[in-house]
Amino acid sequence: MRIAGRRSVRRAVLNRVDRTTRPHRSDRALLEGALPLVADGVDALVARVCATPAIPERDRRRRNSRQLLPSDLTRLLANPDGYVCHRTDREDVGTCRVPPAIGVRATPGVRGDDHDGRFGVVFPRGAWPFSMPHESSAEAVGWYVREDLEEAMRG
Amino acid sequence: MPKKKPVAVVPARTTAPPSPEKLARVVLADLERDLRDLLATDPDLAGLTAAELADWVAVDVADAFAELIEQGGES
Repeated sequence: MRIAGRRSVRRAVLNRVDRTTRPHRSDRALLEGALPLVADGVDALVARVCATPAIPERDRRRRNSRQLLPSDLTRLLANPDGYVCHRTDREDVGTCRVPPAIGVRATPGVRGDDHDGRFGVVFPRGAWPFSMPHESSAEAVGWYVREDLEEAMRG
Repeated sequence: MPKKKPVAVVPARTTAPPSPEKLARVVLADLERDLRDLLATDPDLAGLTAAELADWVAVDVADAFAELIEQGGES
């Protein structure tokens, strides 16, 4: 199963890179320039992909598509080194409708231990800190309410 | 002799190539969509950790680009 899984991923990546870059096949300089940028983005991409439940659960409690429910948080809590968290009481920032201001504090992990804000916004660790608000909007893995984090931590 | 109307010569439209940054963003966005679909549907990937997936994708991205760059150099 593992070998089959490895092959699936490789096939998907090779096919995707081939299809998306096809119009620029002969532009060696462009491909060489894009490669390190794509490589740098892999960790954040995988963090976002893995934060999404594989099978959508009944999400009657989700307020928007980026909300992380206890089952999502359980998965993230198993890999805290890959994330940073900004805790806030501001609802607009805390539900990913508005990006956090540049320079706000984020702590390693998912819990945002330095602040007991009602909301937690999770980012891939490598993506923090941001220099522009729109970067954080695109990079956020998701957000949660304090009660759901507590439920996930109870196990 | 009828007057000839001046004909405006419209230059052929050429599409400038994207920047490496733009191409990288598009590749990453497409790849994210594909991997989400794959994780949601492929039972062989159940239990895969984020660290493992990141390692695999990093290797495969490097290999994919290396092959394309090599081919591009030969054309």
